[in-house]
Amino acid sequence: MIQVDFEKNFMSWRENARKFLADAIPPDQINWSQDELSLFTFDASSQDVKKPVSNNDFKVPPELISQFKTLSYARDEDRWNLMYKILFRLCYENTGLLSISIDPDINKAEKLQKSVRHDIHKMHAFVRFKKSFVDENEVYVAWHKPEHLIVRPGTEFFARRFGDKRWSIFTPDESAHWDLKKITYGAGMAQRDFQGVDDWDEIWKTYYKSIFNPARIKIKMMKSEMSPKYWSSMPETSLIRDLVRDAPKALQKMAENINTSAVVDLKLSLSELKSKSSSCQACPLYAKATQTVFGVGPENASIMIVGEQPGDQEDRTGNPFVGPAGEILSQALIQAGIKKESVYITNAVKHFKWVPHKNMRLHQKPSGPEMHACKPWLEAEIKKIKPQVIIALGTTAATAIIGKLPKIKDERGKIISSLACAPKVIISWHPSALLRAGNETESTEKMQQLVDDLKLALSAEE
Amino acid sequence: MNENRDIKTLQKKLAILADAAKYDASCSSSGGKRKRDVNGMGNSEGMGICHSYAPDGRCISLLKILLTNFCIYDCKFCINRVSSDVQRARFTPEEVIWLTLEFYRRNYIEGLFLSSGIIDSSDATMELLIRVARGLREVHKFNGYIHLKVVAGASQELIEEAGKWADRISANIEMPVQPDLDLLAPAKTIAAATQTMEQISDKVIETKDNLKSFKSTPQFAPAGQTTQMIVGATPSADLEILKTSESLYEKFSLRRVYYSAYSPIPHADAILPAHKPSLVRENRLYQADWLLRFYGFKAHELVNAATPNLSLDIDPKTSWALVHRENFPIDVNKAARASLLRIPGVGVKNVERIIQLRRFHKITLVDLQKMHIAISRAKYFVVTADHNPNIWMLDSESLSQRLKPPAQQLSLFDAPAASEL
Repeated sequence: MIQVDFEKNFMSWRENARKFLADAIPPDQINWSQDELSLFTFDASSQDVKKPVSNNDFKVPPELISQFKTLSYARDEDRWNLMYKILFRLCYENTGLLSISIDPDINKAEKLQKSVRHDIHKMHAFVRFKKSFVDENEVYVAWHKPEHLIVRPGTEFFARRFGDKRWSIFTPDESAHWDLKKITYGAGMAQRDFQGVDDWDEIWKTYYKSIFNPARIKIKMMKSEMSPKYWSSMPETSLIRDLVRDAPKALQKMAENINTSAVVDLKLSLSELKSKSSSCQACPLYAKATQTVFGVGPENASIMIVGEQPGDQEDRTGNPFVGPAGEILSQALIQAGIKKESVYITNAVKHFKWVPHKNMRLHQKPSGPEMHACKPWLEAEIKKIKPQVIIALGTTAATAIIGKLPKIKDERGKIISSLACAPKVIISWHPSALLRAGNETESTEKMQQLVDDLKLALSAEE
Repeated sequence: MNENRDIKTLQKKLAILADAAKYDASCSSSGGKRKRDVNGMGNSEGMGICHSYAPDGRCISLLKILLTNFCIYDCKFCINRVSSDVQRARFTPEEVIWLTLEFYRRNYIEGLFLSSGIIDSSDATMELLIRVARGLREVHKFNGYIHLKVVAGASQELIEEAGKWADRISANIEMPVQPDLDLLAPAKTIAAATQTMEQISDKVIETKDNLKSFKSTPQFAPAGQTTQMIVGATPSADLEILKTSESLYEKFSLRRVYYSAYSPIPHADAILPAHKPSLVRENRLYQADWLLRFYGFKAHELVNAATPNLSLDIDPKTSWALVHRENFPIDVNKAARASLLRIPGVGVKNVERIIQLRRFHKITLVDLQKMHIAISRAKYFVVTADHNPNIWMLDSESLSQRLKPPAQQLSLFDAPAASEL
């Protein structure tokens, strides 16, 4: 048995292996490990000297060299022997050996290499730098515990990526230091001796917490990709336990919040829908309103007008557009030549939203969630009426109809024919915008535009 | 002191704008190739790196955030819709750049995936996203990975500029068919999304062509384009989904279609499912997608009018094999690559291994096992050099029962006990 005394690195192994190979010394006669004392000495004369299977001066494929290099970083005492065994068998037994992935030696070598490559990849992924200062120089320092002996092959990546600043990476075996020109290697360090704190760890943890979706839990997947053996140097992993524990609670909360829109049965007739809507409590507005104000008009109307929400008088009477804004709409309809009775008129939100002000009930714009909660009623009305044209008055109605917050000024006066709810949709001013207009000119202009848009609807319907 | 306060604001915004971005499934950082600029940091070496994993099993590779969650759209499936009362925030482009650089420097991330709610107009939003990417590249000489979302309807000019700075750009199709969009996102159309994809794809092809003649051709999204589809929010079947994917792959040379099982959001609409997302279905769709891209399958082979949905308890390849038993058994020592690819439990890599190995060695059943082929599935469908006693089962009626995994494997829905940690 030959006891090899060599520096435990690839180059030194290679030098020795070359000599042994030339002398056809079989692998079981060589001890590459230093731990065991060899009891026998090898006597070459007593062996049948093997002949190489091909005369190629022991040339091996170049990819084998790089595979062996990778293998040499494995934390496995047997790797040197395994490498030699493969080399020997390749040259003396079977030149096709490397293709036989099921051969036990090739299989083991492949597995080890894979494990080393994996470990290097995980080092690239899981090293966490902390900003620090050494002699007033900004230096980024990290402590990481790799599975294999990969400081050298693993840290070149960081020079390629972070070559513009100094950094140091410590592992229990060895450390690597970048001085802006080259990497030098030094002694290893225990985790307890590593001192690094960084305020950004907290920001990173905030990100980790926020990007996690509690509706999807796949702990096995997480642990197989991010093995707990790496966790101790990764700041975000301290959150995992709580995130998992609280996930059901977070989901529960979501489930409680889920039904924030009206549940509407589309099989009901229009009048049945109307009476159902009178008890709707999908949003809090019902509490302060007198009644639900549902749409009115013929069921076969080809024009449908949608406003924002009932006002004070609508709330008292239960009919849409009967107050001051309704007055303006009536005038505009007359000017456009449309009979009010022929049109189906409704609102995006069906309860009056108000705050007390002196002795009045002051109108308030409905919120997004309120509009959203009420939308199924509007959608049901559209499905029953099947209008040719929908005229949406004001931003609340227009948002509910076109699914997007519009700029009335820019988007009015056009026929939108790309929507599924009706062949044609037109956006215009809400009559109350006229009431709120700053001056006479503005109010007249808006009135004219409202009339124009209604005329457009009339022509579109024909 | 000042920076301290800024960090606090930044952290608050980050919590809102990362939360708002988490429903986008994509986080890949692969396909980019950039060397570090001598005056900056960052590179991409082609293979993506996952820098962390969340307990949802998803890879965290990029800083995935929205520039803002203010949005003028009212899409029912989206937590950021205009009618939602979610807390809103808005980053300045400079804040996003700052976050990206600090995160990257500490090796938390591979780069940035920036998307946004739509404010004002598609182009106005797109310009802000571009400003971030351009700032990172031009001012900070940052060569890490950048993925920009392209807002549907953005102008050709802006799409081209986005592709100039980003490694990857993507436009979301959102739903497999128009009626789904009509139901949930009335202002969005498949046509607008695919038009944007076409614009991207045309430019990708043009750039590749030019690169052949002129090495100095400016880059355009070298890591290509992807898209995302939300599944399970509407009743659309896997048939519609896979047909759409297939046509997107064919027409726009997409790198990936991401399927995101609809995940309940706070204050959702009553027509949306409130239960946990079907991760099994999502997984089956990814498997089927893989079969389309790497195994030579066509969508109509996996789903059709009679069976419009993929089986949940058997993977799509095995399901296909079960109804096409006349194609089996396949002789692993003789069959062509295309046939090997059809064997249940045998992946693309193993097909290559089989082809390599059989030149030197007659493959047996044990060999297949050693190659880590899913032998429990493959064994019924293959002829090997030795006697394979399992193939007599091939015509048996109970075969599909045998191929079903035990029931408890489907309990992916259960929240795990913390003791699993």
